[in-house]
Amino acid sequence: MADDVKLTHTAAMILQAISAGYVYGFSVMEVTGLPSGTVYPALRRLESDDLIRSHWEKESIAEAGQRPQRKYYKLTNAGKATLEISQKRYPLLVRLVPPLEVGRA
Amino acid sequence: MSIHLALLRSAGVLVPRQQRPEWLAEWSAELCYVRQVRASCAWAFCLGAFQDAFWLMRNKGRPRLLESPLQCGLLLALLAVASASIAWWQPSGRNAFLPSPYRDAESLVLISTGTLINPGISFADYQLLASSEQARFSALAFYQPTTTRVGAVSMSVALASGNLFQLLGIPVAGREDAARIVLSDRAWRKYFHRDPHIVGRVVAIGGQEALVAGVISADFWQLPGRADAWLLGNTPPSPEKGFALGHLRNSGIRPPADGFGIWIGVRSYDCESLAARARRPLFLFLTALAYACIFLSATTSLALGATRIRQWIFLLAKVTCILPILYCFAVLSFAYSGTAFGVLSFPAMFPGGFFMFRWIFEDQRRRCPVCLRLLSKPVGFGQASYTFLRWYGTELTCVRGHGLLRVPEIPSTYFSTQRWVCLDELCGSEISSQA
Repeated sequence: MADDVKLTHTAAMILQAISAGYVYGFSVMEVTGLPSGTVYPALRRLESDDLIRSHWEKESIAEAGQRPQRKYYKLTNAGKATLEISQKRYPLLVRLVPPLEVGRA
Repeated sequence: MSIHLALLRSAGVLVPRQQRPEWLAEWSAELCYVRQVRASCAWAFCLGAFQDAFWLMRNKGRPRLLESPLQCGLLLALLAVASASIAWWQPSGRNAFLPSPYRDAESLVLISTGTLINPGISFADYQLLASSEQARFSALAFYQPTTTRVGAVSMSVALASGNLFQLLGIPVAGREDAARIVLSDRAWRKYFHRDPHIVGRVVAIGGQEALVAGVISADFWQLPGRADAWLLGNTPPSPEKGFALGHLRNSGIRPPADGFGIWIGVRSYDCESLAARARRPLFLFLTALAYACIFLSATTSLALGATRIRQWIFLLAKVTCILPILYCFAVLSFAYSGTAFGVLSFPAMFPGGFFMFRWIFEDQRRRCPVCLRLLSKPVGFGQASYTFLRWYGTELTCVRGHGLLRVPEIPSTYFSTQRWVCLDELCGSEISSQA
């Protein structure tokens, strides 16, 4: 599957952002500078291609932080393989999305 | 409820019902964080929800039938073959291409009101025409489609003047002043069981006897009004309308292609030659084609930036497949003129032709120049710029990884045309194609 999926530069950047630790929509928007109308449809498509997987955070954690529950995204094995291919195709990808600083998630 | 949440809920209406609660939960949760961190961006954030909702609405798991060039070509070829078959099956569809069965069809004119509804002429007007227009017509005939009993069965019979078939140049037996009946081959098969000795027999029709003067193929009858048989020499005194046929004098001079008008008493009638009438579906088709080309050149850029022979072959194949579909439309709107279908299909044919050709060009631009597959995974890129200086648009990719297509939403001097960016060694250098 991973070999079959070819990503646009934008989609690859979003995949790179998730891989770098930006695991929810708004943080992906913040780090890539892409608008919500680009990021969320791209997340849906990546998920439908089985490159990422989503899950809701535990309600207890959200309640403890007094904030609404978040939907997190995570790379699948196919997503990791596709990202490796995309990084070869778009060599500047890693530099465009810096890794998340520890404790900022 | 805040205005932002109201926007999200409005966008949620577009999302498929099963996905809507989760979709709304995610966007509402994210909105909370946007408000905390960047309150000024909340509006733009919420407007993005519409793009997401549209994406979900369009991608409800439907298969993309036309994605592969082979599938697209096969589907179009299937439609083209079906349309061509329908058009050929209609007598008016094939008559446009076949030589006329009538002698001197250019000089034979059908006289009618020219209207779609009830185009016939009354018998009284026909008689007036016969007495007043002798200088123009060398001969005139009249027929009136009706239903009459022939023997034990009820048939569509055209009551016609005795010289009808003589005028058309179709030989039939018997004297012109005697009551004769000419059968269609369909009626001969259905009602007379292919009797080989039918010609010369006398049959009872509508309370009188008539001699069977011949059997003609259905293709010989290309005039309006359906008939299983023609009763000749018995001109009807009925108030119902019929059709008049005239043979123009000076047969060396062709009547105008679009016909001409004559006055009979206080009413005007249109005269159209049978040859022009047979060509009318073809004329309609060519007119629709011309309209499509004119509107296409006025509204759509025809530049495709195609550089490969396979792109041109594919384009040509699509155009070739569309032509029979348009011709089928023209034939059906002509064949069913006067009915609700004909009234609707005639005006629909012109925009229909235009949109079909427009689709061909748009589809061509959305295909990978290498593998000809439809580009997929559209990503809206950038945001509408207040100054129109920043580019924003859509980025599509070839599923086989041959390249990217970047389409600007509003062409600007910086990014005026869609651009194909090659990502594959097969692709060669960057190709720009006109949007």
